[in-house]
Amino acid sequence: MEARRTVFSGQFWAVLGLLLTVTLAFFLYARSVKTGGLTEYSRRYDEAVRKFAPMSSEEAMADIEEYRAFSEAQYFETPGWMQAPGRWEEKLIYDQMEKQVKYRDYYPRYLEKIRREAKQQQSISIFAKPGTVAYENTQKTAREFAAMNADGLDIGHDLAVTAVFDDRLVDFAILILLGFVCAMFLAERKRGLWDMVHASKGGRMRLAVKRAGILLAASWIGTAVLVGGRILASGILYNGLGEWGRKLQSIEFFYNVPYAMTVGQFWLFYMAVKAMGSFMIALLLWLILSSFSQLSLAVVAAAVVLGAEYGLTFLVPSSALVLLRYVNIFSFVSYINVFVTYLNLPVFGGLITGSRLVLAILLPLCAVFLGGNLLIAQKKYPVTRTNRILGWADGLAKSAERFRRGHSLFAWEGRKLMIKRLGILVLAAMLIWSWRAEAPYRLSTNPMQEALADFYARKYAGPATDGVLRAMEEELAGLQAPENAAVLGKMIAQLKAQPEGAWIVPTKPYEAIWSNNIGNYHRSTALIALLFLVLLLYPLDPQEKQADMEVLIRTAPRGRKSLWRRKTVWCVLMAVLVWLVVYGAELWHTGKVYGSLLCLKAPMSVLPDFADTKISLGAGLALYYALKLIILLAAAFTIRFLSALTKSNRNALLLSLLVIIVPAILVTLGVDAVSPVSFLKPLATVELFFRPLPFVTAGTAGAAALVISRVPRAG
Amino acid sequence: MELVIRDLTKRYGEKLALDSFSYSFTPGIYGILGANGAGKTTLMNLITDNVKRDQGEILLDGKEILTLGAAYRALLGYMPQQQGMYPDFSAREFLLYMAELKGLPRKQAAEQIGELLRVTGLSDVAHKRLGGFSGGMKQRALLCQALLGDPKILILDEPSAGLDPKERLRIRQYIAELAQDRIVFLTTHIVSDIESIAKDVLLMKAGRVLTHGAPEELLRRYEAADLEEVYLKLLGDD
Repeated sequence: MEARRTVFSGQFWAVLGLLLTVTLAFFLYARSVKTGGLTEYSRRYDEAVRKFAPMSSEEAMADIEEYRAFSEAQYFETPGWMQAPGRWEEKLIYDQMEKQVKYRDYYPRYLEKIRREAKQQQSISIFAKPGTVAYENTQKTAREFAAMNADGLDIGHDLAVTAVFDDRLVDFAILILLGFVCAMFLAERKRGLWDMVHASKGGRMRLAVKRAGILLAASWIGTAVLVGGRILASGILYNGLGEWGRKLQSIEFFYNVPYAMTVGQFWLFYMAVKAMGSFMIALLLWLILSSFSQLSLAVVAAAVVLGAEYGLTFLVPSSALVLLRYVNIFSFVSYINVFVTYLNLPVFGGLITGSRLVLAILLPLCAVFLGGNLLIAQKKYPVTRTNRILGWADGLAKSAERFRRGHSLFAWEGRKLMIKRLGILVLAAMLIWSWRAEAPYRLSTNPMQEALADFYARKYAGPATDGVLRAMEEELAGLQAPENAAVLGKMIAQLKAQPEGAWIVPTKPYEAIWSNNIGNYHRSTALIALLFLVLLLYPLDPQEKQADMEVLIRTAPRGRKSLWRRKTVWCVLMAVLVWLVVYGAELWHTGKVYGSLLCLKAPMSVLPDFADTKISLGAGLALYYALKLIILLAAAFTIRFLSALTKSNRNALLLSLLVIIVPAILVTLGVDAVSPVSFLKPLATVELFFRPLPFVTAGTAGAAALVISRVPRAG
Repeated sequence: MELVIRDLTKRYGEKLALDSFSYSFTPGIYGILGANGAGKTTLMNLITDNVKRDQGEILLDGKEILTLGAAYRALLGYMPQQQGMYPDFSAREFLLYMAELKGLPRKQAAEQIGELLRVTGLSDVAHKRLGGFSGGMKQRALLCQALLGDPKILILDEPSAGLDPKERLRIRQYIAELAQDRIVFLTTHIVSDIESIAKDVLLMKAGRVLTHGAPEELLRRYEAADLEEVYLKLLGDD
């Protein structure tokens, strides 16, 4: 029964589904930013691996050098060569292959270096100081790596493994899931049922044992779905699912791991450690939460403990106190960092590697926390004195409440959305994301030449008048550096070949913004924008139904049309906010990386991809971003319409994720068949620029959603 | 002020929840008694325009309430049976929000809220979240919001459910004072709540008015010692 209420309840699976969707969406975004693409990159990566795997290192490097020389020559001889679809991905793939080939040669040298250092230490008497940490560390390292060898190292789909550890979102998602399960255990306190449960036959020790079992099940299920889902997604994306028999040390990420295992064995080991580590943390969380009778105090205590533990992971310097980084619950949250870092720690006069230490304390910690929970379940009484701290807090709240004033209806709706439904946290996450976001991609093979071209374009930016051309020729005449002269000379020649009214425009930032979805950037950014919009707007309407307030509100004179209008304004405001933050970040990062957007009056035809376009760059930018705003508004109204169909915030969120985000994820992955029912492609815009129909369709759908969601008639 | 209901009918599928209900209401307290499913809440929902009627009209001083719209709802004070409130709002927050929905000026709202919290004994807990309130406290908070804005038509659906006898007496007396110049609908299962204060009592069954009249008149007509006996005589076999 308890299991059915928690782990097998709809709520648990809904939360798990939500976490999986969010982590997958951010994974796709991050991968597209890092690798420059998804499906195109994936295909080319697979081709490259198959090509380079049978080659020797010399053959592979020769092939890579040949590619570099060829692409550099083409860059100069064929305008727009690098802008062709797939070129950017190709360049990144060759960079990746070079890394893998060089590592294959490096690893045996690295092993040899470890052995050599240990031998030298023993043979040269001034360094031979047995018993010291430095000596023992070198000898221990040599002993542990003695079993490793470079046999069987091969070129494979490394990214299928390393991409799994791109971010720590999955690690924290598991914690959130288990926190949710612990909260479900405490639901009886919120609803005043604790007395009844505690007084019943199976309401103490027996219940605690069952709950420990539930936490164990939830840890394994969460790990299997979230971590397993990430492994699967990465494996599918980079064609690595068939390489579980590969030697782990074939992948550079694991070069410092002194255990002989295959990729498949590693995954099983890693999932088991993650699951049990998560179980241990869940037991600790449950222990803290159930130690306090008052839930609010319990939450504060849990936050303090977790915060302190987290602080120790990066505040503790690399000194004798470094143990505190390892004997730490967050070493289980980010176990991969511990696993791939070879570090011997002094413990009780001996040395133990960090990864082994972490494993050694896992089961004892589980036992201790489990024991604590069983003790509390047996001994703690529901009825206690009011905690003094809570008493003070209550007094403060009472005093503050006297000064509470009313707001306008618009402000109340904002308060409900932003404060009560925690929209402000979503906003904070959006701002953090925007700060860390990347600029869109622009293809480049010769950074030096392009930097020079950009320098001169910025220096002489504007209409290419006779005066400007003369000034450029004068500068050319005085140039010493041959590279500068080549670039400036070529620029002057190109300008002279153009008809009257030519412009000198630093085009890099514009090429970046309108790069034809290079690296899947535009689709991934659109996905993130839609996700934030859903998270901000889903509770706008169903919160009244969930709280059973609908009848009360509709009876009030301003509870129908007035309220609907104000909610609609918040809907528009959120769409505008997402647009400003996400696409403001895009422009800001573009300016940071490629320079500011100059010559807005110049025609868009200065860009090769828009040779026939008559409007100015400024007008083009305005149109481009205005279209995104229209689509975001349409999406916002649709989210509102969907959420109003449901009776709870949870169902509203699930429905919006299903209808808006899942198709968007599929389109991001390249399943274009779904794009007619997704806002993603029109929001990505660059692929559909100057094609009005998709925008009209999406806009009409949004307008229809707005009209249909107006105040329903009594019924 | 007169609220006239004529031939009001509402069906839910095959079930006839209200069957050609007709009555005329003037200022005073109207107790509405009946078993579960008698049509009391449906009647209240129709008067508050929270349910679409199938037939009939509701006129306030000769004007259809659907035409009056928000102007009619400005005269209403509604305390529903279900205790629906935002659990994470404090009592004062909730009342301020409802006052804004009712269009009350903020200064007036603050004064009324202070007075209502005092009358209902919620002043000391106005800062606490509604989610932590007992059932009786929630009832009192709902009654406060119903009384905001000095409504001329007060609809109280089971107002004393969850209250102890002392609280019920207090609320009953308060309602009796309020009813001087307003129409008060009071649906209840607790017959004693209306016996001493109602101007008129309507007994409903299967969507129809079984009988109605002043309490004393009903006692005489049915030769009963109290209204509960009248109720049992008429509805006791259900």
